[in-house]
Amino acid sequence: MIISSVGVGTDKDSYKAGREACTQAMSGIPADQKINLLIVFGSTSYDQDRLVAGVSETIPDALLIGCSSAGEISSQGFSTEKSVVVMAIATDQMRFWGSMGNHILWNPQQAGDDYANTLQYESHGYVTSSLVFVDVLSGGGDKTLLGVTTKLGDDFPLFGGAATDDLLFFETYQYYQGKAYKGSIVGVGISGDYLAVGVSGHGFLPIGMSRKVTKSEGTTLFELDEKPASSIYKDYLGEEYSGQLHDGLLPSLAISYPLGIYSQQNNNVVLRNPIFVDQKGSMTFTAEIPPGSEIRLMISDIEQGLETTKTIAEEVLAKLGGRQPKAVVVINSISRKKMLGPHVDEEIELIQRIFGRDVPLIGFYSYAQIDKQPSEETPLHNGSLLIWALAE
Amino acid sequence: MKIENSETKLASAGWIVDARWYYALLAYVLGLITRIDFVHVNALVILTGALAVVMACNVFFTLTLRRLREADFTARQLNILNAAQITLDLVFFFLVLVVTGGGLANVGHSFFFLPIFVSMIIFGFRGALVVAATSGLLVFISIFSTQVIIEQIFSGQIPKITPELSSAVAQSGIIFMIYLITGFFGGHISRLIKIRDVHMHDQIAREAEHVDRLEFLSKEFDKSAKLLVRRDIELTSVNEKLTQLDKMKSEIISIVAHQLRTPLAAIKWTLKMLIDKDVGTINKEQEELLLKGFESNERMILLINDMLAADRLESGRIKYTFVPVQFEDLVQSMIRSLLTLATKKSIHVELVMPKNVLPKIKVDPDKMNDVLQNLIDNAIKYTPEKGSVVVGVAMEGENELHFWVTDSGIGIPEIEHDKIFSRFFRANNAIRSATEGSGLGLFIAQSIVKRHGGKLWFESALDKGSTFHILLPLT
Repeated sequence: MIISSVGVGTDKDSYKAGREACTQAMSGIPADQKINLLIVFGSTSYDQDRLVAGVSETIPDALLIGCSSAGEISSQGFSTEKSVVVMAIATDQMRFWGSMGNHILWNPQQAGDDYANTLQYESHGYVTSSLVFVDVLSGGGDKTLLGVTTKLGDDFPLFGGAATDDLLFFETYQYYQGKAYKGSIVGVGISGDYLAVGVSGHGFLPIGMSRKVTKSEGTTLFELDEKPASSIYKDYLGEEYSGQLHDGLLPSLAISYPLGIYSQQNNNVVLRNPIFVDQKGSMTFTAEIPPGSEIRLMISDIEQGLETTKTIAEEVLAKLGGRQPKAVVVINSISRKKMLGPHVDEEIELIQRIFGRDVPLIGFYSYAQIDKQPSEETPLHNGSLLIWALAE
Repeated sequence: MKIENSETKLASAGWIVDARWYYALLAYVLGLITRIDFVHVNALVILTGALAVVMACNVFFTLTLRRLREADFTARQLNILNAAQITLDLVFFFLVLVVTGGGLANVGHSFFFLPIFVSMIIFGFRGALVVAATSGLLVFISIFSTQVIIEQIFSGQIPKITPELSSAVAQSGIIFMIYLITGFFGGHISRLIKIRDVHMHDQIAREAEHVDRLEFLSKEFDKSAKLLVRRDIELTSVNEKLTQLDKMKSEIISIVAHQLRTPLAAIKWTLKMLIDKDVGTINKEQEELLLKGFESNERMILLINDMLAADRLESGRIKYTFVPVQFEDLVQSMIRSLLTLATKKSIHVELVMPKNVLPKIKVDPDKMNDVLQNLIDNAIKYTPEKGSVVVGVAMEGENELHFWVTDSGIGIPEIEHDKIFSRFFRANNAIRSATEGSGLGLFIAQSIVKRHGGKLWFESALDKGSTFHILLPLT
């Protein structure tokens, strides 16, 4: 048996909002069932510690994981105001193992390694899949995940998302047990009798000619075709708009038009959003940009975006092979949120229509989406939509 | 089919010049080993002298080729150079043949295959045949010279036909034929290669043209892409501003509507008290005036409520609760509540129900009631007295439910079909026939149906009536 329920808290007080969401989620679970796991996504406009305390003190025995978001999603649709969403899961056929890795700023790979080690130690190696939430602002997200996959194996099903901070690109929070952490990776390892399926995709298409990465180092891209990296945006957006690339900390225009990196192994395109553009034209990303890669500007529209949503949701359903989803976690990207604009609700409605409106659904808008496929070079994606579904 | 493939010919000439350094030396060494010294002339001197001339000529050829490569050269210049090369080879190999005994007795004759192959490459079919025939002739001459026949002829003697001579002439005839056959087939192969080269050259030229064209088009596409992105960003930016303005407008409407509700409610109850004579008697004229005021106030309240509902729908503040319901029950109860209105206008309302009970459908019952009310109420409102309204529900396929309302009303003018679901829009004939209505009903209905993942559309003929359809997914 797997039962889940979702609650939404919108109270102005952080603690009360957390408690409100958790109480609402709890009300959907029969009183005689023990709640094992709480997944929490909350707006950074709340006091994060008080928010998490509000949730964890309502159900102290359950494992709590989650992160800060740039927009919360629930069975009630996309929240138009600041909110916290909680999914409560009760089950007698699965076990959840919580884990955390810290200090991504100093050594991202070590943080991922610590996360995986704890998970394996706690579960005695029985863990068969994992859902993680990670900070990508203080260190390379792909390095952190490399730490996890090196330990757990390349075929280990790993899904999740990167915490956000309402598009401030300053600092994000990861929720674990009763506290909110910074610069960490948190998550849950799952074992037992269950089926967890995750599918991701983006729906962006390349536009214009490709450019070659002629100088890059780690997550910083210096030059494309021997010109400053941001010239790709200047060329396409024109002088009038490209100036906005340097407005504040947020390269907001770059979110609408992510860059597509062509895989050297197959024809897949991985999207990358710069999180920082400096005055010299270098751009910093959440993952490594390999030298010699082929890069193109990507564009999408509402119709294409919603078509991708439909394809992904249907693929999840097909992978479930007729099993009824008991809980759905949607990890969406800020690029898609910006691209869909006022149509974000339509996307959630579309997902609900495909899975069934009574299937509890929770999600958030993230800086990166994690979907580890054995054939893929990197589990970290930008501009994508990840739908993760749990079935008996 | 001829092509001026001068670059290839020039390259071939270069290879031959390069190769000559080796094969001339090889022929010289072999000649030295197998040489037969004559009475008057030392073979070593002849061979060494010939090699020196060949090497000197080859230096000349190398320099000439370099000059040709640097300057614009003509095909004729190249042909002369190549002819000189082959002539030099033929003369040199003839001398080697002579000093090694002539005919087929020694290895000298095999060197003639070299100029034959070379001529195949640079001159083609005819050139190869000419060089083959010349080679054969030189072999014959070598026999006659070594058998002292030429000497005998020059000294006026009748040449002696010895069995050795006959055998050598016969063998030379065979080698002559072999040269010719080699020249013929080699020339033929050379011709085929040339034809293939022509095809390949054409193909490469065509492909190079395609590559140029593709490159040009890619650059043009890139320019178009830049235009598209800039247009996209401008539209997105304008759209964002409009959304902001729309949000502000919605907020103003919401504030104004909320502010108006309280005084309108106060007016309503004041008028009601006056009409109900709670504060004293009024005459009939006063009552009529108050009733008109009351009705106008009611319309105003309805309009304000519609405006607030539309605003809530647009801003996404309305939350939907989907529960499984028996759709027929919703329709039946809605018809019951509107029957009084229909009876007032003597309109016949017919309900078409399926024979079997429909599967339950997941909808938000309150919102769906608003939709049904809007559509059935419109049908009754815009149908003249004694008209008819038909309401129906049925399954459409396995996963969808079809609801429809047909009336015999005023219809919608065709010119206004595409505006009918817009906010505050009312068709001209609708305004004339019924004064009530905010023009928000269909907008609200469509928003709700959309949120249910369904589709709302209509068919209409002016003065004949309209049919509104809804298609809703079951889950």
